[in-house]
Amino acid sequence: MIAKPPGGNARSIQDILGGAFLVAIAALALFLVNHLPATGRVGFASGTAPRLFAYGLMALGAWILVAGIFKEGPGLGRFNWRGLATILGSVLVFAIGIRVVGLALIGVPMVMLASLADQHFKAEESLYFGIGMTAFCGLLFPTVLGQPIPLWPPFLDMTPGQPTAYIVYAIAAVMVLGMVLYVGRQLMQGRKGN
Amino acid sequence: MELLTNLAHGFAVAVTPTNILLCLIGALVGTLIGVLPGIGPIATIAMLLPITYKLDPTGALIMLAGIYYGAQYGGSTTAILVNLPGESSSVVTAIDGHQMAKKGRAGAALAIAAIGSFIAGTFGTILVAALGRPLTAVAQAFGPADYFSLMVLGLVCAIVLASGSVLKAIAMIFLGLLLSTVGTDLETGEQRMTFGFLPLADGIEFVTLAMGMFGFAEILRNLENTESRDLVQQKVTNLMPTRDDLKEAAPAVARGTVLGSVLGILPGGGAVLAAFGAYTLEKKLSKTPQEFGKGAIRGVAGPESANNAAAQTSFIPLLTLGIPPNAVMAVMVGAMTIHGIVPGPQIMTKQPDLFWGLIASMWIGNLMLVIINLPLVGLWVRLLRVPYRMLFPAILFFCAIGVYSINNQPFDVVLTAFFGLTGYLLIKLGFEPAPMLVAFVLGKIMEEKLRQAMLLSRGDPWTFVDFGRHPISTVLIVISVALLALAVTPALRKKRNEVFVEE
Repeated sequence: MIAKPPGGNARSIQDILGGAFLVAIAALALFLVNHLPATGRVGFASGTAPRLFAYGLMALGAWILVAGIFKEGPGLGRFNWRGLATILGSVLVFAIGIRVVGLALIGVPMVMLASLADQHFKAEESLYFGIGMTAFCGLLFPTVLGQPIPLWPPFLDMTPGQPTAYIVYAIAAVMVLGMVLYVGRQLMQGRKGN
Repeated sequence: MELLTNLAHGFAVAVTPTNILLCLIGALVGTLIGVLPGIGPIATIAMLLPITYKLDPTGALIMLAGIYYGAQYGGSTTAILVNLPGESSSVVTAIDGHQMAKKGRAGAALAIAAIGSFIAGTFGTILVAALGRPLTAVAQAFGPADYFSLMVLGLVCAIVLASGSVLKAIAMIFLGLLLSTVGTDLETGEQRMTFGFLPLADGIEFVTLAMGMFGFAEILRNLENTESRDLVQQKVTNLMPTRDDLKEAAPAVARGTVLGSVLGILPGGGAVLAAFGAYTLEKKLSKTPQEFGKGAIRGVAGPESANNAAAQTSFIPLLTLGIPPNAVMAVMVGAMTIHGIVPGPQIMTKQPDLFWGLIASMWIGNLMLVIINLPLVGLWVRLLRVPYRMLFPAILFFCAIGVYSINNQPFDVVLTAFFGLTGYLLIKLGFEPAPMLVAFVLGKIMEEKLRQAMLLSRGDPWTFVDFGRHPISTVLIVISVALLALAVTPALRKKRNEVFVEE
């Protein structure tokens, strides 16, 4: 079950770093609650519980760290940097874009950026998949379920009857049509392939 | 008799067209995510929370509960047919189930899994109904000190039953507790650990933590295992198990049901542990243990019954005491809170429709699952052809929309990404995030009860073990300490590792 550490270390790198990580979190918490009273009228105040938990976490983290120095254990293993960057990046893109340009415009870039996390990234497939997902979610969440998610860019006047509305709907329709054609073509090819 | 009246009332609530439909949707979605590896019930329930906003609370919980037990059915299908457990609770099912499939007995394995699950689900549902009232009565006798001690016991159980290092599990509990104190202090209104940041004043939104640690971190981890899924295309014929199969499986179903029901109630337990436990039990009791791993039908019947029974009974502590016994139930607390329901003993008295309706719907859902699963097996397996490279961006997109729409707050989405990163780091460092999530949910209630108890005792910390005043609390603390001491003794640790490393 336990993977051999890459360098064959006699120490548990995982535990040393893990313990240090917890100690750091606890230290940060203690620093942040420093201004709160530690004890109150009945021995309890706003700062009591956080301190209690932070001291506990710090002690446990230190214990894990020290124990890790004296025992053999697994190393860190490889980190999936590409996945981390693209997945977290795509989520951040969504967070930044959702209010600025709306769901309709943020969907495709988000899905495409996320898809890049996979080694077998296919740009065309990902593009049409993004369009499909955006169309589906755009219909489901703001339209059918009536959730207050900004769908269209706020700077566009989307009141029915406005020329911009017609143009935007037309563009969206063309994109969805393109996606349908793409899926149709893939299915045809798939059938031939079998 | 009162039980029957109550159940009848529950069925009246559950069979309204809307609730039947919601139950069906929940069961279908549950089966779907059960079939698909890489997405579990925690992330799914969190993801679907926003969809339930417009529903009434009863309907919403009926649907969300369906996802949990539906996933137990779906997970076994792929475990048996393609040796790919869709859920961690069906990992052990794959061992013997897939061997049966290889011998051309896939139909029998699937049927036994479904029948066992249904029997276990029925028993679990009855147990929830029967234990509901007595436990609620017990809960009403609880004072703040007793509540606090009960939650301590819950967390200790989560530590004992967590896989891997005990020390690391305790550390995760403390991290969860610490995170739960972020936000405005309830009594004084002081800001705690918010960096002076307004969106954090209400505390860390539960869904952001759950989605980040379980949804996003899972995806990152899945992308590292670039194993290709080879689909063994097998025609599933002859779904009916033979009479001998049934005879062979029946005792395993019964044992799995009982074991699963017990482990489901225990804090820290749940479907995964139940399945592992049942498999070990069947192997120990079998006269032919060498058959296990080569297609023993009891190796399918036991764990499948156990995981489904546990999925039902884990609702007991949640509905009666307001304490989530595992991470999935912790998400259910989140769901209840969003709908303005405080989990706990008052649900039964104040919202009988919800309590009994939910229980009745579980049985209906189980019945539906047997019906939808067996004939539709081919469809579910075909779903596995959807490549993961399309699946995970879709999951991410749904998650992002879901998190955003909780408070219409882009900051929540950023926070989720941050917790995704943290979760990935924790996994890499050998920590298991599930106990942390349970502690996070319990943390807020625990601090409140701790303060109340301290206030009542005028600041005496020994009030929790004052047998004269708080006998319940004292007993609970004693049990907790004993359990914790047991957990660190070498003998039990060895046993515990055996259960979890069984492969």
